[in-house]
Amino acid sequence: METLSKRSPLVVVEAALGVLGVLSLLLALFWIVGGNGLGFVGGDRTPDSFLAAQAVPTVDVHVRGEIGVSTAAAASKAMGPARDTSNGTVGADGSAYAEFIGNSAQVSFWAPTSLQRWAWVASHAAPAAGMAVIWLLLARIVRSVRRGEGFGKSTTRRILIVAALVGVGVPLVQVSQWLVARWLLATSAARNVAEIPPVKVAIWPVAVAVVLVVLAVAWLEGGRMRRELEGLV
Amino acid sequence: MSPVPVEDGHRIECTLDAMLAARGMTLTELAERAGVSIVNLSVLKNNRARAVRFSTLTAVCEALRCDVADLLRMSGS
Repeated sequence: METLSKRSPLVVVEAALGVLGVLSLLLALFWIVGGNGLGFVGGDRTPDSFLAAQAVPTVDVHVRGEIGVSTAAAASKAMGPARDTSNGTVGADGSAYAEFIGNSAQVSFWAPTSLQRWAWVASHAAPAAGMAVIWLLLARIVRSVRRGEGFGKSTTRRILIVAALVGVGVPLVQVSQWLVARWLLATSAARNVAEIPPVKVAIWPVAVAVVLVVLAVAWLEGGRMRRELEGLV
Repeated sequence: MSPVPVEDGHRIECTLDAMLAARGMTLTELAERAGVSIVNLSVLKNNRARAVRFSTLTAVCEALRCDVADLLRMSGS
């Protein structure tokens, strides 16, 4: 079977995917060796840290009661009184009317336990590690195609692994990060003032996974047809 | 020619090798006359083909001035 030349554009694609895989792997590794992990890189765990892996664990919260909306109320007040005109409600200076709403804030946890720190690291390193696996699997798929073996069962298997990583991995990471945030808040001084917003599990990863599974099935069928055509002259 | 072992559920044997020898024709010449690639003709000649297009059969038979039955036969018959 004629394989594509080594100088094929697919070589470049494969190399690019490999580089992305290695970079994602390094990013995941950085979380482990960073300030919240082993502490080998940048022991300073400040919120303003350039690298997120070194930042002190910080989560979005809803502040309970009147104090939660006090910032929004104060900001709205700072805009000045709204005016009703023939063209509708406008701001104090005549510009388009706007309103501050919500009770959102961020809470930083400066003294998490060792277990909490590692739970934080694991739940935040997982996406980068998952992306690394996906990039490397895509690189292997491109390599198979380049070698004329694209319709092998291994390609189908790799597509299914990517589907599982996206469809199951992403929601799992979202839930795990939410659970860690709840845990951190529940053991902190802010536990009576704030609460973690309800978990938001995205639907799109499941949709993407379904698309990938359908493609994998089509790929499997294509492979079967390809094998049937082998020996056709 | 020894019978082709039953493989892929068939016993069809291609006599292209003998047909070429009888006509003193090379595979390259046949490829040029029939407009079929040498690779495909080689697969056919060496009995490695699992399926043959009607268009290929037509082209080869026309180039060899023979019938399909002259080109293919049941192994062991």
